[in-house]
Amino acid sequence: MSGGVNPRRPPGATGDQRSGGGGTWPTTQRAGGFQSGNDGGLFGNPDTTGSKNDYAGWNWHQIEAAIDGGSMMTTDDQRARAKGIADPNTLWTAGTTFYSVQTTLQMVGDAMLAQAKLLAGKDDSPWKGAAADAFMTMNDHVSRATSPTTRTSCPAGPPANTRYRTS
Amino acid sequence: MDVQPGAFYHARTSSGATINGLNGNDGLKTKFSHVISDLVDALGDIQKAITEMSTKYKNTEDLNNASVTDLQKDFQTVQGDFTTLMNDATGSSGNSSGG
Repeated sequence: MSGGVNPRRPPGATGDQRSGGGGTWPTTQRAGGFQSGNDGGLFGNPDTTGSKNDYAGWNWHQIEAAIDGGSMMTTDDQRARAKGIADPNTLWTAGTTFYSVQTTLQMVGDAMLAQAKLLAGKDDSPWKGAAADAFMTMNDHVSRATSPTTRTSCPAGPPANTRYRTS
Repeated sequence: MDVQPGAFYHARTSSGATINGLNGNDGLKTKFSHVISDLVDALGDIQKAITEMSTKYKNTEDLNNASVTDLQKDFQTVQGDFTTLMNDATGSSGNSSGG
């Protein structure tokens, strides 16, 4: 575009953003925890928690910046910055990572209980008596401790909807 | 592993806080790290206890004559490890693994 008006620049912005001159978005755009880039663009601020009341006063630039990380971006650096604020794939990665941990813990618990049963938990196990019973009780406790599925606090796994998966 | 859920209230307080913690040092990520650290301690102490038992009890007959008290002594450290693990997993008390 050869004209002097940057269509991605909101009314009231100051400075020459097209040349990287350190322009900033007007206060009305930056309100609600948003940040302006040195060379344009509007970004969400990941360092503030905000409140439920934030949404009421946002315009669509701010809504886009909040959800996608950035708005009105023109450069790869800006898009990289936005990706550091909002990236659905990080949720996928977190889900698969937690699922991996869960299955590993489950495997450890199951293996320990199976070995303990062979040693002291079956009719033909070599170890019998009160100590053997106590050993089995302890291993049952250990198995429960290492099996996240027996607890309610650790539901792990990737999102059921895989449309955000890119790799 | 860090989650970038976006920059709006519900993203930060649901996904972000649940996984990373509001300040990036809490949440499921930190909880799992503590649990795994606790588990490493526990498995190491189990291995140590079993090794000591194999020296202490020469045969199955010796083992069958062991009392519950003997076993509790042998696995005292292990029981403490798993108590810590459960506490860290459920957040029912302060973490002691320092992870």
